[in-house]
Amino acid sequence: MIDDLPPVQGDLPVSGNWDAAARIARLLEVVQRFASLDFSDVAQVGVTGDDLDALAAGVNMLGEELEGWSADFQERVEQRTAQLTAASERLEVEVAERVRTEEQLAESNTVLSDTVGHLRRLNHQIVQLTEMSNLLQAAGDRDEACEVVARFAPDVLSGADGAIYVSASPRTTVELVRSWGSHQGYSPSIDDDGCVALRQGGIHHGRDDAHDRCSHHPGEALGETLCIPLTAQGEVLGLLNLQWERDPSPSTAASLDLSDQLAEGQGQRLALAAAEQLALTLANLALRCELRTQAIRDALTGLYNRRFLDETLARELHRAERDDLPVSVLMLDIDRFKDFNDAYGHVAGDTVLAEVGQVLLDNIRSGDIACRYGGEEFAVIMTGADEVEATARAGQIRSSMALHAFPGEGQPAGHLTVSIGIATRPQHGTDPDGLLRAADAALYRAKDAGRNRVATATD
Amino acid sequence: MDPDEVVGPRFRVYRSPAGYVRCDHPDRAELTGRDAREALQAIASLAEGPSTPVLVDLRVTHSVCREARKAFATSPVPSRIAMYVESSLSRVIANFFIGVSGPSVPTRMFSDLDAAQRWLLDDR
Repeated sequence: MIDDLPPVQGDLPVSGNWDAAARIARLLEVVQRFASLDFSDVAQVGVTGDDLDALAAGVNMLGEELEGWSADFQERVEQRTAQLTAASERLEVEVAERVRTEEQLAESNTVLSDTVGHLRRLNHQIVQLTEMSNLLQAAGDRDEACEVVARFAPDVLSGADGAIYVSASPRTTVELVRSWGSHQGYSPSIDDDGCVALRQGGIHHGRDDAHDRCSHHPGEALGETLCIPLTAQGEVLGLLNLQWERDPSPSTAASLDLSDQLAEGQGQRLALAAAEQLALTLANLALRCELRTQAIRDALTGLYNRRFLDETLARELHRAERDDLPVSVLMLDIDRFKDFNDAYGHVAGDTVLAEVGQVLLDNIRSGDIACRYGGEEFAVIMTGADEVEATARAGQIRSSMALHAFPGEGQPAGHLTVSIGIATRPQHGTDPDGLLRAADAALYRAKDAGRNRVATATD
Repeated sequence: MDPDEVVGPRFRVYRSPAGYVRCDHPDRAELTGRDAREALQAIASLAEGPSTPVLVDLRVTHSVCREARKAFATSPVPSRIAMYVESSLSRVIANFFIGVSGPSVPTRMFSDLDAAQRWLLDDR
């Protein structure tokens, strides 16, 4: 056993009589220290250079190498640890950068999704606006046009409630024509003092503050309002009135209300576009109505003209034939009108013609059609009136004319008479020309008989 | 001093007439890293080119430290190394150098000087 060996005096010089067992024990002790990575001691190499000295030298060199390798290993471990730490730190930076990039991407994606949603919604609104515009162009009258707008407005204007007012004639107020949405209680009419937009001639956006809102909005309605005058060619034709309650929850593309779109400038453009379309339609309808009136009315008397008479008489005769109804035609001529004209001038003559037209209108039935036939001749179509009824009505007209005091400017007021000829379907004709010729012939007989009288085609 | 010889504290380096450089150490020399670097510098100064065959006489050397072994194992000056040994101690040192230090040039251990010289000069 090594422990049984005598203690080795390591510091003592090794001599030739050094005990072999002690030297081996000493070597073992050094080897055991090396095994525990303790390199503080070395084996003594003797002066003899014998095998044990060689063994001691080998052990020492192994110890040196082991110590060197251990140091190298430790250094490499430290280097690798430093490299790993640096790599780990770089990785942490990269991971943090990637996380930040992913967050930015997610944020960008959200913004992009919202933008796409907004664009889709806006596209839908524009499509609806275009369809509304197409239908407005086909609208036959004002009510139909307003109905089209009321139908499309909830889609085009993001669910806002609203009402359409159209100018009365003459334009002192605008009157309620159509409304939509849950709010009720719109003012039936609004004058300029009741609406900032009408007064100032421009769009007015009222916020939640009641002082900022026009008084014509329903009192119970909260939220924001928008008043847009309907103007075309500088003329106010009406008012588009919108109101909505702002949703306090965060907006999404699906829940975007008019306030959000107003904030982005889109809502106001959409509302303005809808208002412009409606105003243009109203202007076109008014123009069409005026042209139609000009086409069928006599400008001097306001009665229907000859052209309208021809169209209407043919239609009424066709209807009468289908329904087996009588139709009477009255031809009326002012007696001695040429003398009146010669005496008082054409201006007075025109005044008399307008008065005759008014007297005629005052004495016919509501369904009868009075026309200026030409010059001082007039005609009345009486659908459903037989000869007896027509004769009675003609007599009433004749007497009213005879009693009517025609005003004269610069000349004494006077009285005029008329002669009337009557023809009735079917006995006196079934087509317009025949019936008119028969009535005209009766009129001439009334003239020949002394004027201021009524004659029928039967007479 | 002979221009073909360099003598240091624990080495003597000289050019052999046969055409190699020989490095001897004093009896019981304990070679350090500094000794090795100075000896290699001396060998380089005596070499006729960038490198030269080297014969190292280890017969009376007592010890060669790790730094010294490493210096010889990695030096570009020797083109090949012949280690001249005799005792068990010198053989252990030589074997350890060849087996563990891993010299970068051909290295062999000889107990016969003529054989060592022949091997060194074979390469020329």
